[in-house]
Amino acid sequence: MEELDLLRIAMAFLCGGFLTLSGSLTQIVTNNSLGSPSTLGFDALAALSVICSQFIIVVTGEAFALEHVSLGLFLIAFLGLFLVSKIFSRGPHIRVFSLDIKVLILIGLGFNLFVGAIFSIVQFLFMALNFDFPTGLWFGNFKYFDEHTIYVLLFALLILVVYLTKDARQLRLLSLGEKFALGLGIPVAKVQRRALFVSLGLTGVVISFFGVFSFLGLIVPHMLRSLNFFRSNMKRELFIGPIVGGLALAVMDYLCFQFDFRGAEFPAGMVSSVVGAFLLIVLLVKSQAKNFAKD
Amino acid sequence: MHVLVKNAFKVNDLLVNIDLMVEKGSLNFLVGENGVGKTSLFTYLKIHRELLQGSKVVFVDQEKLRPLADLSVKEVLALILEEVPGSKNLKECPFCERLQIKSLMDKKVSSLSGGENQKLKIALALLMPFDILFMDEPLQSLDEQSQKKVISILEDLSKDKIVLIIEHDTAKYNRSIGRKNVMKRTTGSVEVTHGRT
Repeated sequence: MEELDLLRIAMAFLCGGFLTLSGSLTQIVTNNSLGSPSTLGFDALAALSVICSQFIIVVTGEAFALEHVSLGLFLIAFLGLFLVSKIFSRGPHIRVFSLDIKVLILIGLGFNLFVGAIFSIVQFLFMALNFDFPTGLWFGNFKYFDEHTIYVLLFALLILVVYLTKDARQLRLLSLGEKFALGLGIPVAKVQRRALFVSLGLTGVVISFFGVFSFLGLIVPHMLRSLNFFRSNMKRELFIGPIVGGLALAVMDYLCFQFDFRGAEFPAGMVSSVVGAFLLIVLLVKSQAKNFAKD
Repeated sequence: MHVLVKNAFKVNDLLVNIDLMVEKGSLNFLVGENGVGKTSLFTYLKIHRELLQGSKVVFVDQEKLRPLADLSVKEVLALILEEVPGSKNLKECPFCERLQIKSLMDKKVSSLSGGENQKLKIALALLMPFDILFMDEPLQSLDEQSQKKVISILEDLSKDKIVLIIEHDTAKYNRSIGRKNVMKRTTGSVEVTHGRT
């Protein structure tokens, strides 16, 4: 058996951890265990950055690295959204005591459809004009990586540790429901905004460098909460959950590396999509059965 | 007597003039017609605690408690004890005994009835440190016996703490001689004035 590069394992582990935490944060903010970064359009925003980057590289003819341009564009979008959110959060609002999650979900779903349409159009044009297109975007993989990417991931990890140390208690109380948390004096809107931007940032970093790994952010937190150890204390999900998610993605990537198909390696993102979709159906059926038994 | 909020401000082109007063030793109320904005004011004060003049206020609203994780009552109580500084455990809360929360300990919050959920929310509030307890229709979803229990608890609590209740029917509160703040809406403005029950 060939040996897998340790750096590749480390990056898969960190990305798995980031996506798991990203999922936990969106589920806490939306108070919905089926919430995920993709529902809110985070995956789509990062994917749009990749598509636009490829467009810029092709049009300018410059030999820029796709992931660097993509991350740069994503950070510009991130900062823009951050400034907009700061402007809209000013002033007294009797109804907007927290973010209107239903509106955010609708915007996210709409944005997903929009990016899907853009993707199809750009893909068609690129193929017609014989340009390279980042077809690997929708199925993330760790096959091609720049070793310096690890520094970006470690920097993101440092920000994450600082953020969680600061906000874990408030997130745990927010998981009881936003109105209840507000009644305890938790600054719900601020905590939600920070959580969403951290989730967005983590998703963007992973997708810019490695592509999309569907369902990880949705399924792993949901499955963790089915275990008493994680369910009884949200802080365990926030701190230990990403380690579990990281191991899951690292193992998935290792298996993809070892078991190729006629020399072609399966992208780990493809495996996470198939496995994740299957597990989601199982979870939904189990949950429906539980509700049926209650009635 | 204690002025809880005395302020005038504009919200979405609506002039809000509040002169909300409360006192210890009796129950205080905020009353007004349906749709006048009592719950909206309640929510507004939750967000803008700077208007409460440094008072430590715990709010109990109408909505059901819905934790993200499928927690039991015991786990929620443990969470509050661990994460809310100064909170008590159930054994240290004599009022919680009267709510009979112990019988619900192993039940999942998601499986509680409306009345049980309401009792749990009240019990959680009583475990936390506060100077003022502000409740939005606390008797909602409760059966007659539970309503009498909650009223009795609030009347006993009001001897040492300030209790302010949004309520439509204040007649249920037997010995409630306290402040009755009235909220009225006119074109372009909302006013809260204080009076007696």
